Amino acid sequence: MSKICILGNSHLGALAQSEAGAKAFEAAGHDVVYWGAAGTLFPKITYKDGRLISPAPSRSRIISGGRYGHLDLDDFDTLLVYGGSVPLSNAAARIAARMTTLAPLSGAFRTAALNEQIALWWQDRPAGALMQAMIDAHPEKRYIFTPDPLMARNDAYLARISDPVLLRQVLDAMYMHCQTWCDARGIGFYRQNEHTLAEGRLTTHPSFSTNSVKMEKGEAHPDEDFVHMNGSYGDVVMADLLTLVQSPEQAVRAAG
Amino acid sequence: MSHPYRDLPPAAFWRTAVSDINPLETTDLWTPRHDLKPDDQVVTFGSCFAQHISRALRRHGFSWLDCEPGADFVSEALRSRFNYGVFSARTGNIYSAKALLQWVQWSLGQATPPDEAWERKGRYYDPFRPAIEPDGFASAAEMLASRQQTLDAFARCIRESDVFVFTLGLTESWENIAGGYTYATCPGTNAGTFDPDSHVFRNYTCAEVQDHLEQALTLIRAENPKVRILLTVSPVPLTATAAGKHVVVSTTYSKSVLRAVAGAVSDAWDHVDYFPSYEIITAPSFRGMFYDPNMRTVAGRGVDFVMSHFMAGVSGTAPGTAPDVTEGAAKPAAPPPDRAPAGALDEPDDIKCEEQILEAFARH
Repeated sequence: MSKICILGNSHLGALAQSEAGAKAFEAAGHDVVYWGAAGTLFPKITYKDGRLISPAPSRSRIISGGRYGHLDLDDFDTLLVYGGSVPLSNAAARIAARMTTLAPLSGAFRTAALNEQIALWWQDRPAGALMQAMIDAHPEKRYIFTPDPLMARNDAYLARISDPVLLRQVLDAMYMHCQTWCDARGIGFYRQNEHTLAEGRLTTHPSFSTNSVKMEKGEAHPDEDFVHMNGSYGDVVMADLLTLVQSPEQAVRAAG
Repeated sequence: MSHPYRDLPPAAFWRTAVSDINPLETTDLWTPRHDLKPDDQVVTFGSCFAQHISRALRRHGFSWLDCEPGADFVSEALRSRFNYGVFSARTGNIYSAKALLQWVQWSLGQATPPDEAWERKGRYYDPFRPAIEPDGFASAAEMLASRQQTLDAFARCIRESDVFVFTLGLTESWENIAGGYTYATCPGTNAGTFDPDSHVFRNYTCAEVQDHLEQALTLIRAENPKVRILLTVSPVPLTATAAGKHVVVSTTYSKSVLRAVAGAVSDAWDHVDYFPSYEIITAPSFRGMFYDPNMRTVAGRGVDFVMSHFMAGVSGTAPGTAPDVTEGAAKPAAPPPDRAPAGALDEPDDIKCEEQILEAFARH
């Protein structure tokens, strides 16, 4: 039986709610452990001597069903970084707003500016540094990464968007940047399933956000929470991740 | 017996100003005709060497006016790669007085710029600023739209500046025979196609350069009667000459004409001053020490030396001791954290020079 750790932040709640997903992984011979730290704690996770050190071990132990405060990487064959404090929606909206000011300038400059903005954004994502540290120390393991799901459709977010086409271009470019970064390191990359997106492909369909629950306490997020997803979303993601985990081409990564 | 030389200052005599002193301790090379105050809006245009002046002004806290900044949230490196912030508008190098005249006429609506576009490998280049986009424009229409933005910005520079700095660079030029306009570089070098039936080499005479310059300055002053003009001549020799002479001979001709015109115009026009960057680098007393080993490009220490004299003149102090004018005055806004500090781009190698492409055509 292979051992998989899905590590991340509060978005793990949606996956943990997916009973179908858990069963499918188990039936396929995979033992899945969730581990991580929610909110602002996630960026404080560090790697040291074969372990991921949690800034709040007691809370990480709750997330992992009592199994791990800190995380021993040797216990796992596959490490799947889910979310990892890589929220695309707000960053994309911010970058798109900046890009609208460049509308009169040449396409080449706009493209270069967009790529630079995305590179700077990614550079500040703690998940990148964490994955790099893990790969450097344990190149023999399999790694998969996916950013946070897009925010669920809501009026406040859409009101910030003056150019939906541009926002979609920015989102696509951000996904491409993540994908390229992962490809260069042999990390499998999972992009949010198109079927979970709302019309316009800018946000997650709201049906995937209602009745989402908190990872640690199991209680519901407030109604106005459009960031976290529910068990239905978890079902979709878990099915996709299982396919990815079992995909032979994704397993190929040159060690080192 | 009294005569005009009796009371002249030491700077007027070669022995006291040059022979008896360490050349690096030369002083009094320039006394500005007009004050330059920290809040004066200064614009800079001209040949490659003009870029040093804009950088020095910014570094010392003067109000260098950038009328085409591009974007304030991208890195300095990216802005520089696309030639934003190099001059006060995105003109690229303006090497000749005739080219300056064209930019002035086009920007002020005194003439219509040609819609000629140079094509290379499916990309489009502006004949009047062929290196402005590192990989060219996607279409001729995009190129022309971009040029119009620059013309609008150039017109703003004319209207809103207190000091217009122009560095004269070349007398040699290539013109379109039918249109009578000059290009920034020879067609077929950076881009485009050379056609001997359409393109002609010109090496402007002293009278022509003076006429072009005076026409340009007249238009600038008509648009902005308060603007002062500061002329300089680039000390950088020609990369190549098409005049059929040795490049040293052609360089001497070119620089002599430009220096003579700058002197004549600044002597005759009250609102025009001349800063001797050319002399500071090329005078025999400096023994060529400020050039790189290729004896063409000016080394960083040379640029620093020139600009120390510029700042000394502006501030009325000895070279190298010019105070930062931002002390006690409003400092320029700090760059955002995601942008390279200004000094990071201050290496001489970062100077943009379309003309330098000619070096690639040397057979050996």
